[in-house]
Amino acid sequence: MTVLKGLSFALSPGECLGVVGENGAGKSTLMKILCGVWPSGSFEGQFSLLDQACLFNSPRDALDRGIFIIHQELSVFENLSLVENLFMGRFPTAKGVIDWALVETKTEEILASLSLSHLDPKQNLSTLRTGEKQMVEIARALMTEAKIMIFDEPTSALTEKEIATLYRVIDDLKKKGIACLLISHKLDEVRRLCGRVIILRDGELVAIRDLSETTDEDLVREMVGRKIEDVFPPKPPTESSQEVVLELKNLAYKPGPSGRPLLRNLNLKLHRGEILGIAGLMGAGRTELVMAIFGALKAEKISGQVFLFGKEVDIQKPDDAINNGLGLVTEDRKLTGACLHLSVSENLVLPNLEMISKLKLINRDQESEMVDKNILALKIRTRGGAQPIRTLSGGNQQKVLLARWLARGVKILILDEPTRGIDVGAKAEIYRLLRDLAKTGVSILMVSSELPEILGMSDRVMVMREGIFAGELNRFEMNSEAVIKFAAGVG
Amino acid sequence: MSTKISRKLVFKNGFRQASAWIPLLTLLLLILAFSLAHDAFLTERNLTNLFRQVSVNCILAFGMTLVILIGGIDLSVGSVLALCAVGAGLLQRDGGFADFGMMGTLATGAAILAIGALTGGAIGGMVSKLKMPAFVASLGLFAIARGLAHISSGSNQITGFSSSFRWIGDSSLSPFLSLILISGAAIFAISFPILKIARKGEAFRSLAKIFAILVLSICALKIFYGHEGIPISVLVTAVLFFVFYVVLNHSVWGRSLYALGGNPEAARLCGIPVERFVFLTYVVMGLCVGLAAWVECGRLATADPRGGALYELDAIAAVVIGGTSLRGGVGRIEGTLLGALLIGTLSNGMSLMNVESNYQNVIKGLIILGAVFIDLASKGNKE
Repeated sequence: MTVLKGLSFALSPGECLGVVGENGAGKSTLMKILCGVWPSGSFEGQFSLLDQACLFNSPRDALDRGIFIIHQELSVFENLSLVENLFMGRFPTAKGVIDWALVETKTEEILASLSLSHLDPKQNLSTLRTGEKQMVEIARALMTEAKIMIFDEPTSALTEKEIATLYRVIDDLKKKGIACLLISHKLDEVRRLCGRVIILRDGELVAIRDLSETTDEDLVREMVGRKIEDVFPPKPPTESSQEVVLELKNLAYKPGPSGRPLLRNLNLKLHRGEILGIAGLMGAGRTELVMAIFGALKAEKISGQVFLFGKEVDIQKPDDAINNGLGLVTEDRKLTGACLHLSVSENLVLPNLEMISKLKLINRDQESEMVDKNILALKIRTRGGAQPIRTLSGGNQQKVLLARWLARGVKILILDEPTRGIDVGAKAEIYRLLRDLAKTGVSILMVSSELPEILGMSDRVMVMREGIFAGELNRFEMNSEAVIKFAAGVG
Repeated sequence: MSTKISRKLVFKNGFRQASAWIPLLTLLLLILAFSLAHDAFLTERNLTNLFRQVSVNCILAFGMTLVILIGGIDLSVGSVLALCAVGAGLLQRDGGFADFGMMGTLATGAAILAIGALTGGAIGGMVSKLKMPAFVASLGLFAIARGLAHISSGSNQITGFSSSFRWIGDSSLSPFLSLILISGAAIFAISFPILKIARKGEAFRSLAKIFAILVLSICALKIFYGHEGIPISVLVTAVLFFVFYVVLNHSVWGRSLYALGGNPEAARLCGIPVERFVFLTYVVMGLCVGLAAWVECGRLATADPRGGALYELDAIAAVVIGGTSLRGGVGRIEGTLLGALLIGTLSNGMSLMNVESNYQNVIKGLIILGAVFIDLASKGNKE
């Protein structure tokens, strides 16, 4: 399978080049090639740094040549202290032992330059907010002799203030002659930092544009390759029903191990046939909220009532939630969603075993009937139920996980990042599927970090910040500025 | 780039499929080699003996298959077997249960299973509730059970089991009953592939199955009808195999074990009571140990506090050779049976040929390492 083809571009010292494109456009593949995750030889074509060809066999080689990447998913050591994170693998030594005096001065310097002086260097990293952890990762990169810095969605977990600091840092890097690659979904961010931008779509280079000569509309059109209306199905013309199917009253959970309040004072009403979007920054408590509703949050409940179809319920464990007609598709397909070692069929029937068994013995005929029906209904591209699920594409795996709950006929579907890491075509299919489900009266609670998805799919949006609902937007009020304002807590 | 990868994949897939047959081929080769090397190997007498020797390890390995399938391990098996045996011995000799006839036997049997279930439950509780690593929890029981076995018996062997208690370990069905039983089992087994042909017409695989069943039944008839009949311990093992096969392949419980073994969090989010199933799996393992202890007591007519040493290693080896992944979630009970037969054949054959036991251990160890290597190589190193 080819995921990238015919790509060539140049990056000059002191330039910050933007890379935009939808999920699945090939951005992360490009990054993996540049930073040595894909060893040379596993792809065609070549690239060079300062006129020297780059033949990397491992990420280590890329680091040695000065290519540093700040990952979207953090790669910090949660169990170690801040200073240990900064110096991991390169503690300065004197006579074979660590030179702690030097470590201390260097740490102070670097923290000051990132406006992080309020942090204690001995603090365990697990006690930091997500945004602060990201800044620590950036600090780690700044301490190396980087020639190229790659930022992969660097601001998705940062507050306004931290974003301003990061912009300043990147400006400084440019002045020092360090070249930057910025992968971002946020066009205003790209405009603020970059002069030129690479547009990728379905693994191909669409164009390299000078930002001063291009409008946002042009960029979006080139990124998506089709109009927004083709990706998101039209919303129903009328408001959704007023019948409340799920209601939370005053839900609150005790702090987790990091000591930060997890969820506070949450009130929410989900209506019949409604798609309710839950927006917010990384670490705002969105995943914790849906896990709490599903009885799967490993934290102590302080207060709160949950009502399903008007009746109060006590959901202690996922089993209770399922028996009450709820279904959950988690944010991490590989870690908590699919059982990758099992087949499509075994994954699909997993929460439905009691429906296809008698006296605890599984009826294979009923099993294949359930599986075949749903493979057909969701257009899952597979050779059949016996195919191992790990051999399916991300989009089709996600459809199997959705089919789990559709096979039960759930009335309330909770989705956490339903299209993460899925190509545009499969996304559009899943969006259409969700919209059709909503039309038949299924209520959907959808957590998403992608603004276009939140805006394109939701009938209503609730925005979370630091464990509370910071704001609610109906379909006429919702736009990206309003969501970001609530999420970042400004104004 | 694409062609290179696909060729690699074809090779990998081919290897993966072939690797499932390696234990069976090795077993057949071993049988061939030993029968050429020693006249006594392929006699009904020796083969009956072999099956009897292998049954204790089979029972332990079946339980171990479930434990390893959920990503756990149980190192306490050998010590707990000794504790169970000593407990039963004390009841029989000092408690006078040996004189109570059938009632005494059943009561002692219940006690021996209960000791196993209790120790299994202790490990299961520590693993599922207290989140202790199974390795450590069972290592603790390994030492505790051995100590208790010595304390309660004063480090002496215990004899004086009633003959009805020993029946399970040292008796056999009559050859005539064995003939009826084997034929019945063969007809039962053959009915499935025949029904499949009638319904779906998957002729080739079903015919191969029918052929295999016929060959196996004829061998079984030759061995058991031609000699002293089926040993009760072999019969117990066969019944247990059937039960475990049905549980793993056709029951809600078995399906849940596969799911939670490979991805406990995903299984939990699908409503599977992960903690309870983990606990129950260790209890079942304990019951298997109790049953194995009963068979062992019957066969040896003594309970030895030093007995059962390193039995856990043979059980784990059988499971691993049979292709069950130590990472959990993948494995088959048929593979474990093959693995146990392979180890048993190896021991039996080498003993016939007077190979010293230390050399036997070295060869066994090499085979276990080879099996794990094949397991890893066939899966490839993803990332």
